[in-house]
Amino acid sequence: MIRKKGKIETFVDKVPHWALLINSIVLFIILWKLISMTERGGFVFAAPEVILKTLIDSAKSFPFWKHLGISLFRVISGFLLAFVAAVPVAFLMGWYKSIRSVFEPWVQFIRCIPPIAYLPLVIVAVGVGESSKITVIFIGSFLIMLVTIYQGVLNVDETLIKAAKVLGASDREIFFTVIVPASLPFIMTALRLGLATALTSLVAAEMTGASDGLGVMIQTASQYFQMKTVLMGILIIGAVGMILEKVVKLIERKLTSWQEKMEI
Amino acid sequence: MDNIVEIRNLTKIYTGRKGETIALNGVDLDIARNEFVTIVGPSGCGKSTLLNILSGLLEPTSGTVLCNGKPIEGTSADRGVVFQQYALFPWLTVRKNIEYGLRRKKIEDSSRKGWHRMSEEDIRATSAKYMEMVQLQDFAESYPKELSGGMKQRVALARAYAANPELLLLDEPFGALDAQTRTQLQQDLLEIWEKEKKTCLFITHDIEEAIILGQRVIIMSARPGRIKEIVDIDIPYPRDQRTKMSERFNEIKNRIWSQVYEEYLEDRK
Ligand SMILES: Nc1ncnc2c1ncn2[C@@H]1O[C@H](COP(=O)(O)OP(=O)(O)O)[C@@H](O)[C@H]1O
Ligand SMILES: [Mg+2]
Repeated sequence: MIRKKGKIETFVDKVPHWALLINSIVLFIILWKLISMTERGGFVFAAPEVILKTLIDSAKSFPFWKHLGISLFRVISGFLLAFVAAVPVAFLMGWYKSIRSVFEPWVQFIRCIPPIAYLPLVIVAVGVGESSKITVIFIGSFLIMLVTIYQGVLNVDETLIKAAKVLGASDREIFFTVIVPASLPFIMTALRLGLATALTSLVAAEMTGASDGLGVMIQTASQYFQMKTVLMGILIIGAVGMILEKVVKLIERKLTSWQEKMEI
Repeated sequence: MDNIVEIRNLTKIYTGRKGETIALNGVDLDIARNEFVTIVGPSGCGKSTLLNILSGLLEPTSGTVLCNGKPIEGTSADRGVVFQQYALFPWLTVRKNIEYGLRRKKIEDSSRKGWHRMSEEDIRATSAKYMEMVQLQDFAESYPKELSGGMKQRVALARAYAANPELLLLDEPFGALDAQTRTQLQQDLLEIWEKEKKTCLFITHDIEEAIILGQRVIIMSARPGRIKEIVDIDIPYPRDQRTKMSERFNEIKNRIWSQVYEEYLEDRK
Protein backbone atom coordinates (compact mmCIF):
# COMPACT_ATOMS: atom_id res chain seq x y z
CA MET A 1 0.00 0.00 0.00
CA ILE A 2 1.34 3.36 -0.95
CA ARG A 3 -0.19 6.30 0.75
CA LYS A 4 1.07 9.82 0.85
CA LYS A 5 2.22 10.73 4.30
CA GLY A 6 1.94 14.14 5.99
CA LYS A 7 4.84 16.00 7.60
CA ILE A 8 3.98 14.98 11.13
CA GLU A 9 3.53 11.38 10.07
CA THR A 10 6.94 11.34 8.41
CA PHE A 11 8.47 12.75 11.59
CA VAL A 12 6.71 10.21 13.81
CA ASP A 13 7.85 7.39 11.50
CA LYS A 14 11.47 8.26 12.28
CA VAL A 15 11.05 8.01 16.05
CA PRO A 16 11.91 4.48 17.24
CA HIS A 17 9.04 2.30 18.38
CA TRP A 18 10.21 2.04 21.99
CA ALA A 19 10.45 5.82 22.33
CA LEU A 20 6.86 6.20 21.15
CA LEU A 21 5.80 3.49 23.55
CA ILE A 22 7.47 5.19 26.53
CA ASN A 23 5.92 8.48 25.49
CA SER A 24 2.51 6.93 25.32
CA ILE A 25 2.87 5.28 28.73
CA VAL A 26 4.10 8.50 30.37
CA LEU A 27 1.24 10.48 28.81
CA PHE A 28 -1.26 7.89 29.99
CA ILE A 29 0.05 8.00 33.56
CA ILE A 30 -0.03 11.81 33.60
CA LEU A 31 -3.63 11.78 32.36
CA TRP A 32 -4.55 9.16 34.92
CA LYS A 33 -2.92 11.23 37.68
CA LEU A 34 -4.80 14.36 36.55
CA ILE A 35 -8.12 12.56 36.58
CA SER A 36 -7.40 11.10 40.00
CA MET A 37 -6.85 14.63 41.35
CA THR A 38 -10.36 15.79 40.41
CA GLU A 39 -13.14 15.20 42.91
CA ARG A 40 -15.32 12.77 40.99
CA GLY A 41 -12.48 11.21 39.08
CA GLY A 42 -10.55 10.59 42.28
CA PHE A 43 -13.51 8.72 43.67
CA VAL A 44 -13.36 6.17 40.81
CA PHE A 45 -9.71 6.20 39.83
CA ALA A 46 -7.18 6.01 42.60
CA ALA A 47 -3.87 7.74 41.81
CA PRO A 48 -1.20 5.69 39.97
CA GLU A 49 1.14 5.64 42.97
CA VAL A 50 -1.70 4.40 45.19
CA ILE A 51 -2.37 1.55 42.78
CA LEU A 52 1.32 0.74 42.69
CA LYS A 53 1.44 0.65 46.48
CA THR A 54 -1.70 -1.53 46.57
CA LEU A 55 -0.07 -3.87 44.11
CA ILE A 56 3.14 -4.12 46.16
CA ASP A 57 1.19 -4.69 49.37
CA SER A 58 -1.02 -7.30 47.73
CA ALA A 59 1.94 -9.08 46.22
CA LYS A 60 3.11 -9.77 49.76
CA SER A 61 -0.20 -11.38 50.73
CA PHE A 62 -1.25 -14.96 50.07
CA PRO A 63 -4.90 -14.32 49.00
CA PHE A 64 -3.78 -12.14 46.11
CA TRP A 65 -1.64 -14.89 44.59
CA LYS A 66 -4.38 -17.40 45.20
CA HIS A 67 -6.86 -15.23 43.28
CA LEU A 68 -4.44 -14.68 40.42
CA GLY A 69 -3.32 -18.30 40.33
CA ILE A 70 -6.80 -19.80 40.27
CA SER A 71 -7.90 -17.38 37.56
CA LEU A 72 -4.89 -18.20 35.42
CA PHE A 73 -5.54 -21.89 35.93
CA ARG A 74 -9.18 -21.55 34.85
CA VAL A 75 -8.55 -19.39 31.84
CA ILE A 76 -5.62 -21.40 30.53
CA SER A 77 -7.17 -24.83 31.06
CA GLY A 78 -10.55 -23.81 29.64
CA PHE A 79 -8.87 -22.18 26.69
CA LEU A 80 -6.49 -25.05 25.95
CA LEU A 81 -9.27 -27.65 26.20
CA ALA A 82 -11.35 -25.52 23.84
CA PHE A 83 -8.49 -25.25 21.37
CA VAL A 84 -7.75 -28.96 21.40
CA ALA A 85 -11.45 -29.67 20.75
CA ALA A 86 -12.00 -26.88 18.20
CA VAL A 87 -9.20 -27.85 15.81
CA PRO A 88 -10.41 -31.33 14.82
CA VAL A 89 -14.08 -30.34 14.76
CA ALA A 90 -13.29 -27.29 12.62
CA PHE A 91 -11.37 -29.39 10.12
CA LEU A 92 -14.19 -31.93 9.97
CA MET A 93 -16.69 -29.13 9.39
CA GLY A 94 -14.52 -27.56 6.73
CA TRP A 95 -13.75 -30.82 4.95
CA TYR A 96 -17.18 -32.54 5.03
CA LYS A 97 -20.13 -30.56 3.79
CA SER A 98 -22.65 -32.79 5.55
CA ILE A 99 -21.06 -32.26 8.97
CA ARG A 100 -21.00 -28.53 8.30
CA SER A 101 -24.67 -28.41 7.36
CA VAL A 102 -25.68 -30.19 10.55
CA PHE A 103 -23.55 -28.20 13.00
CA GLU A 104 -23.22 -24.74 11.54
CA PRO A 105 -26.65 -23.29 12.49
CA TRP A 106 -26.26 -24.46 16.10
CA VAL A 107 -22.76 -23.16 16.38
CA GLN A 108 -23.82 -19.75 15.09
CA PHE A 109 -26.84 -19.70 17.38
CA ILE A 110 -25.04 -20.55 20.60
CA ARG A 111 -22.16 -18.28 19.71
CA CYS A 112 -24.48 -15.28 19.83
CA ILE A 113 -25.49 -15.94 23.45
CA PRO A 114 -23.35 -14.13 26.04
CA PRO A 115 -21.76 -16.58 28.53
CA ILE A 116 -23.49 -14.97 31.52
CA ALA A 117 -26.85 -15.94 30.05
CA TYR A 118 -26.18 -19.68 30.07
CA LEU A 119 -24.03 -19.67 33.21
CA PRO A 120 -26.96 -20.66 35.48
CA LEU A 121 -27.64 -23.67 33.29
CA VAL A 122 -23.99 -24.68 33.43
CA ILE A 123 -23.93 -24.36 37.22
CA VAL A 124 -27.01 -26.56 37.55
CA ALA A 125 -25.51 -29.05 35.14
CA VAL A 126 -21.97 -29.39 36.52
CA GLY A 127 -22.17 -27.74 39.97
CA VAL A 128 -20.65 -24.54 41.34
CA GLY A 129 -17.14 -25.92 41.57
CA GLU A 130 -14.18 -25.48 39.29
CA SER A 131 -15.84 -27.32 36.43
CA SER A 132 -18.60 -24.74 35.96
CA LYS A 133 -16.07 -21.94 35.39
CA ILE A 134 -13.94 -24.00 33.07
CA THR A 135 -17.03 -25.15 31.18
CA VAL A 136 -18.20 -21.58 30.59
CA ILE A 137 -14.76 -20.53 29.40
CA PHE A 138 -14.61 -23.64 27.24
CA ILE A 139 -17.96 -23.04 25.52
CA GLY A 140 -17.26 -19.41 24.67
CA SER A 141 -13.75 -19.83 23.34
CA PHE A 142 -14.49 -23.18 21.68
CA LEU A 143 -17.25 -21.73 19.53
CA ILE A 144 -15.35 -18.65 18.40
CA MET A 145 -12.25 -20.71 17.58
CA LEU A 146 -14.34 -23.31 15.77
CA VAL A 147 -15.98 -20.72 13.53
CA THR A 148 -12.72 -18.93 12.78
CA ILE A 149 -10.76 -22.07 11.93
CA TYR A 150 -13.38 -23.65 9.72
CA GLN A 151 -13.85 -20.43 7.81
CA GLY A 152 -10.12 -20.69 7.19
CA VAL A 153 -10.44 -24.28 6.00
CA LEU A 154 -13.23 -23.24 3.63
CA ASN A 155 -11.14 -20.38 2.28
CA VAL A 156 -8.13 -22.47 1.28
CA ASP A 157 -7.14 -21.42 -2.23
CA GLU A 158 -8.62 -24.00 -4.56
CA THR A 159 -5.79 -23.78 -7.08
CA LEU A 160 -3.41 -24.98 -4.36
CA ILE A 161 -5.55 -28.07 -3.89
CA LYS A 162 -5.59 -28.60 -7.65
CA ALA A 163 -1.82 -28.11 -7.81
CA ALA A 164 -1.34 -30.75 -5.13
CA LYS A 165 -3.70 -33.14 -6.91
CA VAL A 166 -1.92 -32.92 -10.24
CA LEU A 167 1.39 -33.49 -8.45
CA GLY A 168 0.05 -36.82 -7.27
CA ALA A 169 -1.12 -36.04 -3.73
CA SER A 170 -3.79 -38.29 -2.21
CA ASP A 171 -6.75 -36.84 -0.29
CA ARG A 172 -4.93 -37.56 2.94
CA GLU A 173 -1.80 -35.84 1.71
CA ILE A 174 -3.81 -32.85 0.49
CA PHE A 175 -5.30 -32.56 3.95
CA PHE A 176 -2.00 -32.61 5.81
CA THR A 177 0.21 -30.79 3.29
CA VAL A 178 -2.21 -28.17 1.96
CA ILE A 179 -5.33 -27.70 4.10
CA VAL A 180 -3.54 -27.70 7.44
CA PRO A 181 -0.70 -25.29 6.57
CA ALA A 182 -3.02 -23.03 4.58
CA SER A 183 -5.30 -22.80 7.62
CA LEU A 184 -2.50 -21.92 10.04
CA PRO A 185 -2.98 -18.14 9.80
CA PHE A 186 -6.64 -18.63 10.67
CA ILE A 187 -5.70 -20.90 13.57
CA MET A 188 -3.53 -18.11 14.90
CA THR A 189 -6.37 -15.60 14.60
CA ALA A 190 -8.61 -18.15 16.31
CA LEU A 191 -6.14 -18.41 19.20
CA ARG A 192 -6.29 -14.67 19.70
CA LEU A 193 -10.06 -14.39 19.52
CA GLY A 194 -10.44 -17.45 21.73
CA LEU A 195 -8.16 -15.93 24.33
CA ALA A 196 -10.13 -12.69 24.47
CA THR A 197 -13.37 -14.65 24.82
CA ALA A 198 -11.84 -16.87 27.49
CA LEU A 199 -10.95 -13.82 29.61
CA THR A 200 -14.42 -12.31 29.19
CA SER A 201 -16.06 -15.59 30.19
CA LEU A 202 -13.67 -15.97 33.11
CA VAL A 203 -14.64 -12.68 34.69
CA ALA A 204 -18.32 -13.30 34.01
CA ALA A 205 -18.11 -16.72 35.63
CA GLU A 206 -16.14 -15.53 38.65
CA MET A 207 -18.35 -12.53 39.32
CA THR A 208 -21.50 -14.62 39.46
CA GLY A 209 -20.74 -17.27 41.97
CA ALA A 210 -17.20 -18.15 42.94
CA SER A 211 -15.18 -17.95 46.12
CA ASP A 212 -11.85 -17.01 44.62
CA GLY A 213 -10.27 -15.60 41.48
CA LEU A 214 -9.62 -12.11 40.16
CA GLY A 215 -13.32 -11.60 39.42
CA VAL A 216 -14.16 -12.33 43.06
CA MET A 217 -11.37 -10.05 44.24
CA ILE A 218 -12.85 -7.20 42.19
CA GLN A 219 -16.40 -8.00 43.24
CA THR A 220 -15.60 -8.11 46.96
CA ALA A 221 -13.51 -4.95 46.85
CA SER A 222 -16.29 -3.06 45.11
CA GLN A 223 -18.73 -4.04 47.87
CA TYR A 224 -16.42 -2.31 50.35
CA PHE A 225 -15.82 0.62 47.98
CA GLN A 226 -12.12 -0.22 47.76
CA MET A 227 -11.82 1.27 44.31
CA LYS A 228 -8.04 0.97 44.31
CA THR A 229 -8.30 -2.82 44.52
CA VAL A 230 -10.99 -2.85 41.84
CA LEU A 231 -8.82 -0.82 39.51
CA MET A 232 -5.77 -2.95 40.27
CA GLY A 233 -7.75 -6.10 39.47
CA ILE A 234 -8.92 -4.68 36.16
CA LEU A 235 -5.39 -3.68 35.21
CA ILE A 236 -4.09 -7.14 36.09
CA ILE A 237 -6.70 -8.80 33.88
CA GLY A 238 -5.66 -6.47 31.07
CA ALA A 239 -2.00 -7.32 31.66
CA VAL A 240 -2.71 -11.08 31.71
CA GLY A 241 -4.57 -10.73 28.40
CA MET A 242 -1.73 -8.79 26.85
CA ILE A 243 0.96 -11.23 27.98
CA LEU A 244 -0.99 -14.23 26.63
CA GLU A 245 -1.56 -12.34 23.38
CA LYS A 246 2.18 -11.72 23.10
CA VAL A 247 2.81 -15.44 23.51
CA VAL A 248 0.39 -16.15 20.65
CA LYS A 249 2.10 -13.52 18.49
CA LEU A 250 5.45 -15.13 19.14
CA ILE A 251 4.14 -18.52 18.03
CA GLU A 252 2.50 -16.88 15.04
CA ARG A 253 5.74 -15.28 13.90
CA LYS A 254 7.47 -18.65 14.12
CA LEU A 255 4.79 -20.61 12.26
CA THR A 256 3.47 -18.25 9.60
CA SER A 257 6.46 -16.15 8.56
CA TRP A 258 5.91 -17.37 4.99
CA GLN A 259 2.72 -15.35 4.76
CA GLU A 260 2.54 -12.31 2.52
CA LYS A 261 1.75 -9.38 4.76
CA MET A 262 0.64 -5.95 3.78
CA GLU A 263 3.56 -3.60 4.27
CA ILE A 264 2.78 -0.08 5.40
CA MET B 1 1.93 -42.35 -35.45
CA ASP B 2 2.44 -42.52 -31.69
CA ASN B 3 -0.31 -40.40 -30.21
CA ILE B 4 -0.24 -39.74 -26.50
CA VAL B 5 -3.61 -37.98 -26.50
CA GLU B 6 -6.66 -38.92 -28.54
CA ILE B 7 -9.81 -36.87 -28.17
CA ARG B 8 -12.98 -37.87 -29.99
CA ASN B 9 -16.23 -35.94 -30.11
CA LEU B 10 -15.60 -34.35 -26.74
CA THR B 11 -18.43 -32.28 -25.32
CA LYS B 12 -18.56 -30.49 -22.01
CA ILE B 13 -21.70 -28.86 -20.71
CA TYR B 14 -21.77 -26.95 -17.44
CA THR B 15 -25.08 -26.84 -15.62
CA GLY B 16 -25.29 -23.81 -13.40
CA ARG B 17 -27.99 -21.63 -11.93
CA LYS B 18 -28.19 -19.68 -15.17
CA GLY B 19 -28.89 -22.80 -17.17
CA GLU B 20 -26.55 -24.78 -19.34
CA THR B 21 -23.31 -23.58 -20.88
CA ILE B 22 -21.88 -25.59 -23.75
CA ALA B 23 -18.16 -25.07 -23.21
CA LEU B 24 -16.92 -27.67 -25.71
CA ASN B 25 -18.91 -29.06 -28.58
CA GLY B 26 -17.58 -32.04 -30.50
CA VAL B 27 -13.85 -31.56 -30.21
CA ASP B 28 -11.53 -34.01 -32.02
CA LEU B 29 -7.81 -33.76 -31.44
CA ASP B 30 -4.73 -35.97 -31.50
CA ILE B 31 -1.47 -34.97 -29.90
CA ALA B 32 1.72 -36.81 -30.80
CA ARG B 33 4.25 -37.82 -28.17
CA ASN B 34 6.74 -35.04 -27.41
CA GLU B 35 4.81 -32.61 -29.53
CA PHE B 36 4.44 -28.96 -28.55
CA VAL B 37 0.90 -27.82 -29.27
CA THR B 38 -0.46 -24.37 -28.52
CA ILE B 39 -4.08 -23.27 -28.36
CA VAL B 40 -5.40 -19.79 -29.09
CA GLY B 41 -8.96 -18.56 -29.06
CA PRO B 42 -11.19 -15.87 -27.64
CA SER B 43 -11.75 -15.77 -23.92
CA GLY B 44 -14.51 -18.14 -22.81
CA CYS B 45 -14.18 -20.49 -25.79
CA GLY B 46 -13.40 -23.48 -23.59
CA LYS B 47 -9.60 -23.60 -23.60
CA SER B 48 -9.28 -24.07 -19.86
CA THR B 49 -12.13 -26.55 -19.91
CA LEU B 50 -10.26 -28.69 -22.44
CA LEU B 51 -7.09 -28.52 -20.40
CA ASN B 52 -8.87 -29.36 -17.14
CA ILE B 53 -10.44 -32.40 -18.73
CA LEU B 54 -7.01 -33.58 -19.87
CA SER B 55 -5.56 -33.03 -16.39
CA GLY B 56 -8.39 -35.05 -14.87
CA LEU B 57 -9.67 -32.16 -12.76
CA LEU B 58 -12.91 -32.12 -14.80
CA GLU B 59 -14.98 -34.91 -16.31
CA PRO B 60 -16.26 -34.76 -19.88
CA THR B 61 -20.01 -34.71 -20.49
CA SER B 62 -19.62 -37.05 -23.47
CA GLY B 63 -17.02 -38.25 -25.91
CA THR B 64 -13.78 -40.10 -25.33
CA VAL B 65 -10.50 -38.73 -24.06
CA LEU B 66 -7.66 -41.21 -24.14
CA CYS B 67 -4.18 -40.78 -22.75
CA ASN B 68 -1.82 -43.57 -23.80
CA GLY B 69 -4.88 -45.39 -25.09
CA LYS B 70 -6.58 -45.40 -21.69
CA PRO B 71 -9.49 -43.19 -20.58
CA ILE B 72 -8.48 -40.47 -18.14
CA GLU B 73 -9.72 -41.17 -14.63
CA GLY B 74 -8.97 -38.37 -12.19
CA THR B 75 -5.68 -36.58 -11.79
CA SER B 76 -2.31 -38.23 -12.07
CA ALA B 77 1.28 -37.16 -11.66
CA ASP B 78 1.73 -38.35 -15.27
CA ARG B 79 -0.13 -35.23 -16.38
CA GLY B 80 1.40 -32.06 -14.94
CA VAL B 81 -0.20 -28.63 -14.91
CA VAL B 82 1.23 -25.12 -14.78
CA PHE B 83 -1.42 -22.63 -13.69
CA GLN B 84 -1.62 -18.96 -14.56
CA GLN B 85 -1.81 -18.04 -10.86
CA TYR B 86 1.49 -19.90 -10.19
CA ALA B 87 -0.19 -21.96 -7.43
CA LEU B 88 3.02 -22.27 -5.42
CA PHE B 89 2.64 -23.39 -1.82
CA PRO B 90 3.46 -20.18 0.07
CA TRP B 91 4.59 -22.07 3.19
CA LEU B 92 7.22 -24.06 1.29
CA THR B 93 10.56 -22.79 0.08
CA VAL B 94 11.44 -22.87 -3.62
CA ARG B 95 13.26 -26.16 -3.12
CA LYS B 96 10.44 -27.76 -1.12
CA ASN B 97 7.90 -26.61 -3.71
CA ILE B 98 9.89 -28.32 -6.45
CA GLU B 99 10.27 -31.42 -4.28
CA TYR B 100 6.53 -31.61 -3.52
CA GLY B 101 5.73 -33.93 -6.42
CA LEU B 102 8.91 -35.95 -5.92
CA ARG B 103 8.00 -36.70 -2.30
CA ARG B 104 4.62 -38.07 -3.37
CA LYS B 105 6.01 -40.17 -6.19
CA LYS B 106 5.49 -43.91 -6.05
CA ILE B 107 8.13 -45.90 -7.83
CA GLU B 108 7.28 -49.38 -9.08
CA ASP B 109 9.36 -51.91 -7.26
CA SER B 110 9.99 -54.89 -9.52
CA SER B 111 11.96 -56.92 -6.98
CA ARG B 112 9.44 -56.64 -4.14
CA LYS B 113 6.11 -56.39 -5.98
CA GLY B 114 4.93 -53.01 -4.83
CA TRP B 115 6.27 -49.53 -4.69
CA HIS B 116 8.66 -47.35 -2.76
CA ARG B 117 9.38 -43.66 -2.37
CA MET B 118 12.29 -41.78 -3.89
CA SER B 119 15.34 -41.64 -1.65
CA GLU B 120 16.24 -38.34 0.02
CA GLU B 121 19.44 -38.07 -2.06
CA ASP B 122 17.54 -38.60 -5.30
CA ILE B 123 14.96 -36.01 -4.30
CA ARG B 124 17.70 -33.49 -3.48
CA ALA B 125 19.59 -34.19 -6.68
CA THR B 126 16.47 -33.88 -8.82
CA SER B 127 15.33 -30.62 -7.25
CA ALA B 128 18.84 -29.21 -7.61
CA LYS B 129 18.87 -30.14 -11.28
CA TYR B 130 15.59 -28.40 -12.04
CA MET B 131 16.40 -25.36 -9.93
CA GLU B 132 19.50 -24.99 -12.04
CA MET B 133 17.47 -25.45 -15.19
CA VAL B 134 15.36 -22.41 -14.33
CA GLN B 135 18.34 -20.58 -12.81
CA LEU B 136 16.93 -20.35 -9.34
CA GLN B 137 19.60 -22.27 -7.42
CA ASP B 138 20.41 -19.12 -5.41
CA PHE B 139 16.80 -18.91 -4.25
CA ALA B 140 16.47 -22.51 -3.08
CA GLU B 141 15.64 -21.51 0.49
CA SER B 142 13.52 -18.45 -0.36
CA TYR B 143 9.77 -18.38 0.10
CA PRO B 144 7.46 -17.55 -2.84
CA LYS B 145 6.60 -14.16 -1.34
CA GLU B 146 10.23 -13.14 -1.84
CA LEU B 147 10.12 -13.83 -5.60
CA SER B 148 8.95 -11.79 -8.59
CA GLY B 149 6.11 -13.05 -10.80
CA GLY B 150 8.51 -14.35 -13.43
CA MET B 151 10.56 -16.22 -10.83
CA LYS B 152 7.42 -17.71 -9.32
CA GLN B 153 6.35 -19.04 -12.69
CA ARG B 154 9.82 -20.49 -13.24
CA VAL B 155 9.46 -22.35 -9.95
CA ALA B 156 6.07 -23.64 -11.06
CA LEU B 157 7.61 -24.77 -14.35
CA ALA B 158 10.45 -26.52 -12.53
CA ARG B 159 7.99 -28.13 -10.11
CA ALA B 160 5.89 -29.50 -12.96
CA TYR B 161 8.93 -30.66 -14.94
CA ALA B 162 10.62 -32.28 -11.93
CA ALA B 163 7.63 -34.57 -11.36
CA ASN B 164 8.46 -35.94 -14.81
CA PRO B 165 4.97 -36.04 -16.33
CA GLU B 166 4.39 -37.45 -19.79
CA LEU B 167 2.07 -34.61 -20.65
CA LEU B 168 2.55 -31.03 -19.52
CA LEU B 169 -0.52 -28.80 -19.57
CA LEU B 170 0.04 -25.05 -19.35
CA ASP B 171 -2.95 -22.72 -18.96
CA GLU B 172 -1.91 -19.19 -19.94
CA PRO B 173 1.15 -19.56 -17.73
CA PHE B 174 2.71 -16.26 -18.79
CA GLY B 175 -0.55 -14.33 -19.01
CA ALA B 176 0.02 -12.34 -15.84
CA LEU B 177 3.59 -11.32 -16.64
CA ASP B 178 4.89 -8.14 -18.23
CA ALA B 179 6.01 -8.30 -21.87
CA GLN B 180 9.72 -8.50 -21.15
CA THR B 181 9.46 -11.21 -18.51
CA ARG B 182 7.09 -13.10 -20.75
CA THR B 183 9.62 -13.07 -23.60
CA GLN B 184 12.30 -14.31 -21.23
CA LEU B 185 10.11 -17.16 -20.03
CA GLN B 186 9.20 -18.18 -23.58
CA GLN B 187 12.90 -18.47 -24.22
CA ASP B 188 13.43 -20.49 -21.04
CA LEU B 189 10.58 -22.84 -21.89
CA LEU B 190 11.90 -23.38 -25.42
CA GLU B 191 15.32 -24.24 -24.07
CA ILE B 192 13.94 -26.56 -21.41
CA TRP B 193 11.72 -28.34 -23.93
CA GLU B 194 14.59 -28.84 -26.37
CA LYS B 195 16.79 -30.17 -23.61
CA GLU B 196 14.15 -32.49 -22.22
CA LYS B 197 11.34 -33.17 -24.68
CA LYS B 198 7.85 -33.55 -23.28
CA THR B 199 4.40 -33.40 -24.75
CA CYS B 200 3.24 -29.86 -24.07
CA LEU B 201 -0.22 -28.38 -24.48
CA PHE B 202 0.10 -24.65 -24.01
CA ILE B 203 -2.86 -22.25 -23.86
CA THR B 204 -2.37 -18.58 -24.59
CA HIS B 205 -4.26 -15.62 -25.95
CA ASP B 206 -1.04 -14.20 -27.42
CA ILE B 207 -0.72 -15.27 -31.05
CA GLU B 208 3.02 -14.54 -31.25
CA GLU B 209 3.57 -16.68 -28.18
CA ALA B 210 1.54 -19.51 -29.72
CA ILE B 211 3.64 -19.44 -32.90
CA ILE B 212 7.07 -19.06 -31.33
CA LEU B 213 6.50 -22.04 -29.04
CA GLY B 214 4.32 -24.49 -30.91
CA GLN B 215 4.74 -27.02 -33.67
CA ARG B 216 1.03 -26.69 -34.22
CA VAL B 217 -1.32 -23.88 -33.31
CA ILE B 218 -4.91 -24.83 -32.63
CA ILE B 219 -7.40 -22.04 -33.21
CA MET B 220 -10.61 -22.44 -31.26
CA SER B 221 -13.88 -20.78 -32.14
CA ALA B 222 -16.13 -18.92 -29.78
CA ARG B 223 -19.16 -20.47 -28.12
CA PRO B 224 -19.77 -23.29 -28.42
CA GLY B 225 -16.10 -24.22 -28.24
CA ARG B 226 -14.85 -26.05 -31.28
CA ILE B 227 -11.60 -26.39 -33.11
CA LYS B 228 -11.73 -23.94 -36.00
CA GLU B 229 -8.41 -24.66 -37.63
CA ILE B 230 -5.05 -26.26 -36.95
CA VAL B 231 -2.00 -24.49 -38.34
CA ASP B 232 1.32 -26.29 -38.72
CA ILE B 233 4.24 -24.06 -37.81
CA ASP B 234 7.01 -25.11 -40.16
CA ILE B 235 9.68 -22.99 -38.56
CA PRO B 236 12.60 -25.12 -37.39
CA TYR B 237 13.85 -25.15 -33.82
CA PRO B 238 15.88 -23.81 -32.10
CA ARG B 239 13.72 -20.73 -32.21
CA ASP B 240 14.40 -17.51 -30.41
CA GLN B 241 13.06 -13.98 -30.33
CA ARG B 242 14.68 -13.14 -33.69
CA THR B 243 12.40 -15.72 -35.21
CA LYS B 244 9.59 -13.24 -34.61
CA MET B 245 11.14 -10.92 -37.19
CA SER B 246 11.31 -13.50 -39.95
CA GLU B 247 9.04 -13.29 -42.96
CA ARG B 248 7.61 -16.76 -42.46
CA PHE B 249 6.68 -15.99 -38.86
CA ASN B 250 4.76 -12.89 -39.89
CA GLU B 251 2.99 -14.67 -42.71
CA ILE B 252 1.72 -17.27 -40.27
CA LYS B 253 0.90 -14.63 -37.72
CA ASN B 254 -1.25 -12.70 -40.18
CA ARG B 255 -3.06 -15.82 -41.20
CA ILE B 256 -3.86 -16.82 -37.62
CA TRP B 257 -4.69 -13.25 -36.71
CA SER B 258 -7.34 -12.97 -39.42
CA GLN B 259 -8.89 -16.23 -38.21
CA VAL B 260 -8.93 -15.11 -34.61
CA TYR B 261 -10.31 -11.72 -35.62
CA GLU B 262 -13.17 -13.44 -37.41
CA GLU B 263 -13.94 -15.24 -34.18
CA TYR B 264 -13.76 -12.00 -32.30
CA LEU B 265 -16.30 -10.38 -34.64
CA GLU B 266 -18.46 -13.47 -34.37
CA ASP B 267 -18.32 -13.26 -30.60
CA ARG B 268 -19.39 -9.59 -30.60
CA LYS B 269 -22.60 -10.27 -32.52
N1 LIG C 1 -17.47 -24.18 -13.43
C1 LIG C 1 -18.19 -23.61 -14.42
N2 LIG C 1 -19.54 -23.54 -14.34
C2 LIG C 1 -20.27 -22.98 -15.32
N3 LIG C 1 -19.75 -22.46 -16.44
C3 LIG C 1 -18.42 -22.50 -16.59
C4 LIG C 1 -17.56 -23.07 -15.59
N4 LIG C 1 -16.28 -22.95 -16.01
C5 LIG C 1 -16.33 -22.34 -17.20
N5 LIG C 1 -17.60 -22.07 -17.57
C6 LIG C 1 -18.05 -21.45 -18.83
O1 LIG C 1 -17.58 -22.26 -19.88
C7 LIG C 1 -17.08 -21.47 -20.93
C8 LIG C 1 -15.63 -21.83 -21.21
O2 LIG C 1 -14.83 -21.48 -20.10
P1 LIG C 1 -13.24 -21.66 -20.10
O3 LIG C 1 -12.92 -23.04 -20.47
O4 LIG C 1 -12.74 -21.17 -18.79
O5 LIG C 1 -12.80 -20.65 -21.27
P2 LIG C 1 -11.35 -20.06 -21.61
O6 LIG C 1 -10.35 -20.71 -20.77
O7 LIG C 1 -11.19 -20.32 -23.08
O8 LIG C 1 -11.45 -18.58 -21.37
C9 LIG C 1 -17.27 -20.02 -20.52
O9 LIG C 1 -18.43 -19.53 -21.12
C10 LIG C 1 -17.42 -20.10 -19.03
O10 LIG C 1 -18.25 -19.07 -18.58
MG1 LIG D 1 -8.98 -19.93 -19.32
